Formats: sequence, C-alpha cells, structure tokens
Amino acid sequence: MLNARKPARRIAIAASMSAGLLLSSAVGATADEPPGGGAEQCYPNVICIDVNSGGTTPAPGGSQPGGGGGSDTGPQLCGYHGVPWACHDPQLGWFNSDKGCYFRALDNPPPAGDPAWEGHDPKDGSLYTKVCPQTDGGQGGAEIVFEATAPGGQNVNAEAMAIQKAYDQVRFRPPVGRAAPRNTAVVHAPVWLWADDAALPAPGSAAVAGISVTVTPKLVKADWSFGDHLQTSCTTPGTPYTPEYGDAKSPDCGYEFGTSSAREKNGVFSATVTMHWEAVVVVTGGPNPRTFTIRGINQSSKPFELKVAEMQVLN
Amino acid sequence: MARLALKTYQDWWQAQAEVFGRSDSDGYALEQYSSGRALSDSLVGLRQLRDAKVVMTGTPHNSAVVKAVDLKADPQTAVIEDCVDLSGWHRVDAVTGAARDPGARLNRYVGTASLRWFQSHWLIHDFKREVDRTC
Repeated sequence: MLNARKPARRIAIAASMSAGLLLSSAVGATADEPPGGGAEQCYPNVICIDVNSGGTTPAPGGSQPGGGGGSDTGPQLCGYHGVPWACHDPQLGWFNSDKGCYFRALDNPPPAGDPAWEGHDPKDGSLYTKVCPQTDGGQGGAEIVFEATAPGGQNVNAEAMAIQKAYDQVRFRPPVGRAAPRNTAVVHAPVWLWADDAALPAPGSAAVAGISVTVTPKLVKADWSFGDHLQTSCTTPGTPYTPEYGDAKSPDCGYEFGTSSAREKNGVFSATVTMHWEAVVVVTGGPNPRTFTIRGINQSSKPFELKVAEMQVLN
Repeated sequence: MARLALKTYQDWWQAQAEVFGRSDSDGYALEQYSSGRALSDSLVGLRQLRDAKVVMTGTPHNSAVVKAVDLKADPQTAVIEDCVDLSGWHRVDAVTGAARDPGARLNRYVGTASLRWFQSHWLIHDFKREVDRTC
C-alpha cells in the first residue's frame, strides 16, 4: 500500500518545487493524499500517457527495488531498479528482484548428462528458463540455467505463493478438435462436434506457512469456431461419434452448417475449439480466508480442417 | 489462429473493464490474457486504483484488426491494431461515483498489441499507445 504512494509523492513534490513552493510544505501537503485526490495521476496506464515517464508506469517499488509482495491479496508486484514487474508471470515464471529476471522451472528437463545441466547432478538443483526483461527486453529468448535453489518468488507473501502452487498443479491440457462427418458433411445436416483431451482436470492443493489452498477447475463452455461469423458453443466437451449413431444428432454438441466451405481457403473451414475453464479457489488459514473464482482460463486446439459441401453427391 | 488472437485481445479489454470496475478485484483474470510488460502495467494500475479508492466505470470500445500473424515463429506471434475509444470509460470515486479522471487522459488512440502463443492460448505481452496517430 505504501509503496504505491511513492511515485505520487515524487510527482507532486516535483510539481510543487517548480512552482516555487517550499519543499517542506509540499511534503506536508502530499504525505497522505496528493492534491486533487490523485486525479492528475495516470492510471490505469491504458487511459492516459504519463508525462513524467514517457508512457511507462511509475514504479510502486519506489526506493525499494528489491521489495514487493506486501500484504495485499491477489497477484503481487515486485520491482527492479524502480520498475514494477508482476512477481509471477504465466509465461515467464517467478521474478527475482535482486537479479531483475524471471525464472521458470523447465516442464520437461533433459536427462542427466545433457549439456544443459553443465555437469551438475539433477538432484542438486533444477534447470530454469531465465528472462531478464529489463536488461535485454526478453527478446533474445530465454536462457536455460542451473540453479541449486528456486531463484524466484522470494518476495511473495505466503498466500499468493500457496494459490499459485495449487493452481500450477491443475493440468489444463490442449484440447483436440474432432468432427463427424469431417470430409463429407453437407449443409443443413447434423455434424457432431467433440473435443478429445478435454476431461475435467483434477483439483490442485498446496499449503504454505499455515495457509492451505485448493483449486478446483470447472468447465464453463466449449467454443467452436469455423470462420469469422460461424461459431457455436456447447456446455460439454461433446460426445464422440461412432457409426452406430447413424444419422442421429449429437446429444450434447452438434451443429448444422448453413453455408458450405466452398469459398474458404482450400475449400475447407479452418476450425478450432476453445475450452473455457474457471477455477474455484478456497483459501483456509492466514489473514484472509475466502473463496473466489479465477475466470478466463482458455485452452485452444490446433486448427483442424472441416469440409462442408453444398449438397450430398449421389454416386 | 488470427480469430483466436482477436478474441483474446477483446477478452483482455473486457477483463480489464471488469477488474478495474470493482474495488475488491484481485486481478488473477489478467494473468489469463497477458504477460510481461502488459501484465505488469495492468497489475500496477489495479494497485493504484485500489489504493486511491477509485474504480473505472462504463465500457471501453474497441475496433481491433489483426495486422500480422506469424505461425512459423517460435513461439508463434500476432500483432493487433486497435482504435481504442475510451470516451465511455471513466475513473470515478468507488464510493461516491464522483469523477476522478486524470488530467492527461486519452479518449481515442491507436493501440498496438503484441501477442505470443503460449501453452495453447494467446497472451498479450506488450501494448503500445500511439497517441500521435488519430483514428
């Protein structure tokens, strides 16, 4: 909480000094609340341009670049040389505020003896991807490094750590889109849609410093997209078609095309299915026990082709 | 893939509107759509809104188009250009509803989002506001 006020104070002091006011009175006036209730400040960053920093957001880390965490609930902020970074990033892993780098343990580390281990024994540590966004912009790709102890996340509070650990145990898998008939579908006839590898993942749980967290996933819907304006939505992953169903409609996830795929690239629809999940998080123990839901967890299939003809061709 | 990128971008704005619109938001939804600078900036914004006891009200409007998709890159990348219209989205006091818009606020600008494909979904890792360009 305090950290976030620091840039406000800095901006207000600079403005007051340039206006010829005494520094001491300016500090007194801005210690609790900047003039105008903070209305002159630029946040959230998408609604304005901060003239003082040329578009970048002021650092909540202030004079404590190694700081971060705090007692707030939700994703934590860390910092490096005054620039704020999310302590945890879905792609980059945990932020190390001393090094200014994100570290993420490899999901599938190579076997012992691989050059990536640099002669280390896997039982002595782990391999991590390392991205330092501030020094190389993270554009050079991740470097793989060996570390004896987990190098990131040390500034995060126990609750945020427990939530992330429990969440990471839930394995949302990429779905595989299926359709029947796939090459001989015709307009205004039933098509079955189903997703493989879309079973409900098992819940995850973790405990850190007396705070226990369980994360239970649930399916919201499966969105099927065939073209810019051709889509349908199902509340289940669908039922796999087998020949004994004959000409029947899918009991839970079917579609009838109103137009053929003749005008599409290569004469086929490029289709995808996206599983929309949410996760119910139960936090017990600690200063703020509660239940909340993380929404917007999406997993999309690779595109697959689906041909729909104007009418059935009789041979 | 381009359609999915566009959907992710639109969902990201919707998530921001929802998260910034409530004083008790935690922001975990933002991690589902963004990473890197884009995620960090929105988490900072959420923190500042909460500390100042203000929220965003109304709806931001977008007219986004996919400018480029590179499916051969590793990871795959996409670039989206948008005419962001914020004239109906305002910062207000969370309790009284009184206007608290910043002085230098933007109503309309060209925004460019860079996305990367990661573990079966797109993530926005950078969002640039090109205020010199009108739209």
